[in-house]
Amino acid sequence: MSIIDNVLKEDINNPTSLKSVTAVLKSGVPHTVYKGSLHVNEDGDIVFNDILESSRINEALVNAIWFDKYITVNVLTEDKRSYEIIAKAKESITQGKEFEEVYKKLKKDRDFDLNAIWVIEPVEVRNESFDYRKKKQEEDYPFLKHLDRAVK
Amino acid sequence: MARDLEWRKKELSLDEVAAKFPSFPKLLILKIDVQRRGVIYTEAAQSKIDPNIHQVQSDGQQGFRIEQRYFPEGLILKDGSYLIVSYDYDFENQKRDPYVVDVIDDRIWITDEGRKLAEVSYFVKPDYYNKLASNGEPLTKYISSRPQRIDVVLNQYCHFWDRNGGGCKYCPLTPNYLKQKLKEERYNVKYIVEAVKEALKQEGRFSGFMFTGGSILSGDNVLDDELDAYIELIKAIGDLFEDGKRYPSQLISSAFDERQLERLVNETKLMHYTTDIEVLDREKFAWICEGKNHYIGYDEWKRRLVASIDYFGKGNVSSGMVLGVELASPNGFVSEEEAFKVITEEAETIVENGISLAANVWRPAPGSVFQNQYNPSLEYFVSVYNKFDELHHKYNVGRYTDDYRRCGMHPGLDLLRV
Ligand code: SF4
Repeated sequence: MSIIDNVLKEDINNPTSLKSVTAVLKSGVPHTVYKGSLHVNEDGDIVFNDILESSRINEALVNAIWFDKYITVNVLTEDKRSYEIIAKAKESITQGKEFEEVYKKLKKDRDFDLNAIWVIEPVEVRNESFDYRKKKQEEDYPFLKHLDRAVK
Repeated sequence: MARDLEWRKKELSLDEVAAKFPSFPKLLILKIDVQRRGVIYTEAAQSKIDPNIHQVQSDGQQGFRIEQRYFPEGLILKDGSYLIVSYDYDFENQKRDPYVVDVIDDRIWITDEGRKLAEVSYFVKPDYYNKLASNGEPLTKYISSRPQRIDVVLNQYCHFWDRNGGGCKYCPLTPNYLKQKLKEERYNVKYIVEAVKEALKQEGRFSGFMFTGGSILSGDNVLDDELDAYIELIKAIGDLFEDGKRYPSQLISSAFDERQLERLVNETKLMHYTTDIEVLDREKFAWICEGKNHYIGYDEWKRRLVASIDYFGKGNVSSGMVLGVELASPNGFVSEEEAFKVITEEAETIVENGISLAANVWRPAPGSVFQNQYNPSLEYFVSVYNKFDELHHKYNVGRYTDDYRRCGMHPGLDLLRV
């Protein structure tokens, strides 16, 4: 069962949300891209298209699937709720009927090619919304505060 | 050759090699080993083949094998790469056990001794399969395909075999042709173009061509007829593509001289040129590729390979080789250490020009002169591929020909993905 609940799934699949993918290159340098195509599929996995075969994110994702590295997906909704999803690479689809269907749509709608459809499996979700994190810090770590904010 | 029941005790295992090369992806080590040891399919794995969906060996022709078994044409791994194990598998004479493709919990796995190693799926049949050319012959007679590449084997017979002992000793192409008593050495380009036209109707399927075939030595100068044949083919297919631009295509041919290369580059829209040096040692080359050595010679083959960059440009030239064959007996290297040293030093003199080495894993193919030999250890293959990768990155070679998705035959080149 996926760890992505229905609310988060709707947020991710909402086209107005901003979604990024970060993976680490072989050199150790992290690389981030924004992915409009990113969505949650019926199995609860995260799926997105990689258009350019020479892209750095493709390199970083291959590095992740080969060496079992983590990938992070960040989601920012229109009303500024933010989530970080930690994931593992599951599959890079480079051929077959599903690939061809996505390819045809991209070609027709935007005159794009297609490198791969990446499928990644979420392993942890963190609510990174500022209001939520601020409240949590105040509750969990009352020590963390400038004194002038605490005076009567 | 009987199965050596003790073979596992004599060499490092997959896990041990992976532990020794931690920066080498274990999935690629497995790919190398599957090509090295071969693979067989359980009945359960065969029952997963859907004849309406999957591409199986018995669907199409393939000069490098005779067996037309009901086995998948190839395997697709989860990293989006392909695994080609296309030579015939000698079920009788294998010293080592093959890997086994089996079904576990309804999924298809490469296994060894019952252990699940990698989940795979099977190649999907292209739409042109089961269609006929205007002469009534199946289109699969004229072209074959990988998941993303159209392959055309122009000449089914290699004329190095006309000379006694001239054929490359690891190669089953011409022995298979002779064994099957085939007569049609070269197909009419007209039908090849018909097959290509049909294949290109499938959007998103193919991203390149590979043209190859047996060598043709005749002509005013050696190889002139081979050149003419390829020019005719590459031009005819090129007419289907935009004017004034080269199209994603690779030719693997004999080593043309400068005059021939000039014609090839000027008269066609070919994008990438490959000529296979095969064995990275002058002396071993002379023994293993006797015909190539007799007509052209190691040094001249290498010189022409490097010279072809002036015509096709850096990044657009590569060379194939059959890795491991340098250890064949009786005249090959006796130790893997010596072979490693010699061939990796020689490799640098080629790769430093920006030429990538598309090295196949040598698995002695039935029908070839070397059919009953024993190929090197997994550790040897991985250490050579590792060194080649270092050179490929150092000299910034082209990375998209013969790669993990257009070809699938050269696991060492997969390393250029990162
Ligand atoms: S040149 Fe050698 S490898 Fe190529 S087809 Fe002829 S015999 Fe086979």
